[in-house]
Amino acid sequence: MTPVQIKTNSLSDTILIIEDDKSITRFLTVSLQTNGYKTLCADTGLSGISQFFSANPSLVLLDLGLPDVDGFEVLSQIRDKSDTPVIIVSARDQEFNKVNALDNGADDYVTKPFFIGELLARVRVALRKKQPKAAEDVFELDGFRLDDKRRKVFVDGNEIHLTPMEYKLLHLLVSHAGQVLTHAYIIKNIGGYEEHADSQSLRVFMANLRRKIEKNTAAPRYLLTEMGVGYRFIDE
Amino acid sequence: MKQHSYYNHISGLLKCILSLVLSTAVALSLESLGVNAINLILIYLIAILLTTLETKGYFWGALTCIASMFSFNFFFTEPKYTFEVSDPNYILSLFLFLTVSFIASTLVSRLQMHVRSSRYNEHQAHLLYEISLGYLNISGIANIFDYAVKSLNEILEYPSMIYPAKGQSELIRPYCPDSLTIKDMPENNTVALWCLTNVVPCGCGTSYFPTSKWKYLPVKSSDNVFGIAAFFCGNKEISKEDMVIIETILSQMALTMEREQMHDSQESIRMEMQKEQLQGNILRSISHDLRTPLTGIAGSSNFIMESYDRLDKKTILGLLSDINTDANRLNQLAENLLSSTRLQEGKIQLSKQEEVVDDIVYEAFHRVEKNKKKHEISLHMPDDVIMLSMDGKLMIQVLVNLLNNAIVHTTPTADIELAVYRENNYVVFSVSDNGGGIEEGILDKIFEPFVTTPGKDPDSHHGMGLGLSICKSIIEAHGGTLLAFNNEQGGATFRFMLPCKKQMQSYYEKLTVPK
Repeated sequence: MTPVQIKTNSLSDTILIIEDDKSITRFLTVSLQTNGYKTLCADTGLSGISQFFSANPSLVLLDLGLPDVDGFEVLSQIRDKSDTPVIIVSARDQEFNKVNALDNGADDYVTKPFFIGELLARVRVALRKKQPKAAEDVFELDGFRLDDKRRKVFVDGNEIHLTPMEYKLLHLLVSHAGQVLTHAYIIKNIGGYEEHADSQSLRVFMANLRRKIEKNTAAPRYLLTEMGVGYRFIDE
Repeated sequence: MKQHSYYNHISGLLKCILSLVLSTAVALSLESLGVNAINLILIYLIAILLTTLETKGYFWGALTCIASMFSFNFFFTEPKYTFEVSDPNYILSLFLFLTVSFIASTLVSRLQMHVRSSRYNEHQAHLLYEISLGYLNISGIANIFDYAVKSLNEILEYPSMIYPAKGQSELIRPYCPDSLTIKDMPENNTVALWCLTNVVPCGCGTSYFPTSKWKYLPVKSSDNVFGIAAFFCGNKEISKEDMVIIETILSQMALTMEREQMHDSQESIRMEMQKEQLQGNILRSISHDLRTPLTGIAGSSNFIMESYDRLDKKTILGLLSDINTDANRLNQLAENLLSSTRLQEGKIQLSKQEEVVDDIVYEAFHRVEKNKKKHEISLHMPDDVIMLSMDGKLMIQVLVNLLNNAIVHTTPTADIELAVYRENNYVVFSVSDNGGGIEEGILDKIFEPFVTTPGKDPDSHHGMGLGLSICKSIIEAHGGTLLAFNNEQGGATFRFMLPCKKQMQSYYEKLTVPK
């Protein structure tokens, strides 16, 4: 992985918007088109599913509160057949909805009201995930550097001493940079940790990890908490 | 009890013998002085009356009568020192003596009983009076039960207790005196339950469950059963006098309970009315608070649409930024409304979880960052990771509200500080600014709903004054307190403390050193 350039001309990417509110659809369409994406719109879940299978978009923006079927149903229909990135855009801000969506295959979750800049960033991350990437040993971003070959982490040139557990966590997050990883996903993927495998101790680990790599732990730069959902390592 | 009556018999017998011996001795000495037999018999009569006075009941008086007659016959009638009587006159005298002494001793003993019972009645009346006075001063269902059980056990010689009724078919653990041991308790409460469902006295001394060692009485008013009183009577029946007392105490109790219920229902009606009033106020201020930013959004956007060609870029950008600000305000209002819908009947429904304090602070900080103007917000966090059991969402809302208040109610260049530190077994959160402080006039009512002041920044809109009252409720629901005061930096400080469990501390210490 290398420092990422913001793309503005990925003309080939088509984004399917499944959303019943007209003004949000229009606002999304305009913003995405201005940023160089093609868009398709569906205002019901069923037409969304049929458009997905006929047009084969690169990414789906999915509202959970649709007039005909529940967004979760649309998500599972899409996931049955395809790995296309799906970002949930919903006014449901309860944590269990987010966790549920993420654990059921959604790539990201954006709560309404949202800022378009934030949404575009999530779209870029999700599309990048789709592209096959060469496994790289070094991740570098804004003063942060993780060298997987040497298993070393540097912040602003200073080496950070991490326990094996902390390194494992950090590596997992960095290799999914930009994505939210739920507590359940993280616990499942760091193995050898069954003894204390609960989200409570995970949070303590994360808080400690953050103390090591962040300058200001309450206003972190790299490692963000999605309250009640999970963690995200930023990627741009 | 048995020992007591045994003692009574002995003392009666002794008194009887003593009076007989004394009166015989006096009569013998008087006879030697030449007093005639008719007077001597009156000496015996005095002794009989005194014995009756000194003993309880008729029995000892009557015994003394008969014994006296034989003694008189033996010592004073001819032929002396025999039980034979030669003069028929004496036979009549003896018979009359017996009759008179019987009547006299009966009268005396009856008089005595009257005195005794009236004394007893007076005593009981006094006790009952004191008990009913006591009922006047107590409130609270538990206190009423406590008091009734206490007074029953003070007056009666045997233990008693009261089961509070829960609904019409359930009993709660009884109120009973401390002296009552488990051994004495009834094995189960089937009889008590039967008593509750049928509202009829039962247990020993009644026709229902007569083998029970306890007697059960319902504590009831005209249309309510408040509980079941149980009295340990062993094998004996409860005396009529005791029943009067018991019934008086229980009916007084029922009256007090009814009074209490009436008071409670009045109180809940009052609360209901207050709640309705509060809801009305909330709705009014919500519609006001919704309309203000909406007017701005609708007006600005409409103006841009209609006059797009005549406006320069700078004006349009200004209007758009206003629209953006108004939209953010609406979003905050929605957040506060969501929190306040969880304020049910004055209590917040918390969903508590162990949360890392850093996460909460970070999230709150992140949310208010876009609202600040030229404010400098600094953060001071403890070095160690603190975990607290709390409702994360609501706690974030508290910090957001406090920080937003600090932003809105200060000059745009004021410094704001959010500090978190540990103090003994508490974690202290404080939000301070140096932007002018709170007016003395509203400092003491600042946490009441709908108390608000115009912001220091003339452009700022003031909210509906719900924020702080929501904060206070949330903090109190977490077992903490929220304080507001003016600080030495010429600004306001809001501070709250949350209890931090000790065992939690050791838990995280164990986890944070994974070797």
